[in-house]
Amino acid sequence: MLKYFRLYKIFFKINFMKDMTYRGNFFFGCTLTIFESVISFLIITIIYSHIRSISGWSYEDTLVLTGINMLSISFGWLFYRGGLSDLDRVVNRGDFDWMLVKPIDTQFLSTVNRIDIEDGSRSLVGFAIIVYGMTGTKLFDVWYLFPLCIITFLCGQVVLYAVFLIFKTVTFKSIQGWATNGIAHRFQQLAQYPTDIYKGIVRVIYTYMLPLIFVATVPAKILTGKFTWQLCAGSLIAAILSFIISRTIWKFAVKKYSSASS
Amino acid sequence: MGKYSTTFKNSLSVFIQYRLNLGLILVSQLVSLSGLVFLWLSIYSSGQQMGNYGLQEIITYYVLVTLIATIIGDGIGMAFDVVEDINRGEIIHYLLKPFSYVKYRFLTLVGAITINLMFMAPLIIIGGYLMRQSFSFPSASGWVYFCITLSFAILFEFLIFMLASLSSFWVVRGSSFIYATILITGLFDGSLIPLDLFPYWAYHITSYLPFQFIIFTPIQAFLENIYSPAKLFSVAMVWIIILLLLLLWVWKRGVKKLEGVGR
Repeated sequence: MLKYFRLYKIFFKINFMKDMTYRGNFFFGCTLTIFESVISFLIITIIYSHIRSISGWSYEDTLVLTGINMLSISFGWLFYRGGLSDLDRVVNRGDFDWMLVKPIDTQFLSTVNRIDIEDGSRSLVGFAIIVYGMTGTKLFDVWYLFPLCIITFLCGQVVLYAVFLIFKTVTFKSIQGWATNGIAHRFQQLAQYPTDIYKGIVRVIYTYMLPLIFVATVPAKILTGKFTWQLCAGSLIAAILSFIISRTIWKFAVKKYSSASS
Repeated sequence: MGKYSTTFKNSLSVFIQYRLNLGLILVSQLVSLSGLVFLWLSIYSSGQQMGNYGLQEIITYYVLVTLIATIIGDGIGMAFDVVEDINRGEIIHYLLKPFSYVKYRFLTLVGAITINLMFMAPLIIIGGYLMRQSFSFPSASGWVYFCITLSFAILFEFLIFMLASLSSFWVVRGSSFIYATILITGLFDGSLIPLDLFPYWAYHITSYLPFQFIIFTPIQAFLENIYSPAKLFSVAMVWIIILLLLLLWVWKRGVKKLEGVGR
């Protein structure tokens, strides 16, 4: 496990060095990411200038949810989204063969191959929005729930990673796998809304089949005092199950892989 | 003209070949739409309302956002292709031939849009019929306005993203300019939220910008909310002329700046 942490640090360093080759571009990218996050904040503010609440979520609660979703997007790009987004290109160009012969886990290598460090700037806006959403309320009184929020947030990330990985295994079957990036992106976009808005079969799907609820809603519920222990336990179970399922599908897909080059 | 019609036909063939992609893009748009529909259902079921939009109008609005974004969305892909062509020097192949690269890119985009329309037409007809109670459909004149404004949308999508992609003549990573354009366009074209829900001063400013013509204006035509078509079409025509002249000027300057060593 320690070996993989060290490897991640090395990959991070390499990606940072690559980014620093075009510093202007890197800082422009950071600015764009911040701008994108500010747009999300503005849109929520505009929506709430017309309404009072969304399924029981006030403006402040929704800001906390949005902030957590931004942290989630940022975390994704820092750990797994870049590598997974590139997987179709890696497979189509035959570079996946190169990954298979390395003495480390191929799934790990495919995941951290590309790290988008500039997206870390989204976290700054995310944190600011969470603090702004919590200021002026009694929410800071629940400081002892912060560790629980972090644990459920990490569980949500495992769930999201698993969903992305499952989507990307299409790449091993079709050369047009890049379009799955769009589905993954849209799926994460859904996490910006409280899952309480969903009703009927869609609610069942986003709770049990594609457990979107655990990505941002559960950590936000913890910080806004809406949490239940069942949700926390569910978060942990969802993370474990998602990881096992995605790992199994990945292994199956790699077994069926036939080289594109060599 | 024959060479350009071949470009158009080739474009159709390429997009038919990659039809799985189109299917997956459609699925991703539907995933996004499902969230928005539930969001608005939740808001309206609690007795709240967004501006002058009733539930039927707001759902129609976002369904149309999804449809238009799917139909004309290839403009963004085109911009990234142009960046690649410039960065890799592939553009020189086109410059050396009796062929307009700008026209070629426009016709390729029109080809992609035609395929998108053909692919989506059965879904639109069946979906529209099944959900006719939940949508607000326009009158005959509304349909005419919608078709005209939709052709404007294609033109603006092309002009704006082509201009952004030509930044590659001067910067190494022109893709950053495309991302910036996506963000600015997304904010001001009405795809995130109807522009008339912005504070009045902001809405007033957006009504003089070109971005509204990509999403917001065609939808307003569909919802029959265009009250001064003369003013709207005047603004559109002025912007088309400005952007076209700017595109040709930037293109000429860019080609002069281009260095194709080793090609």
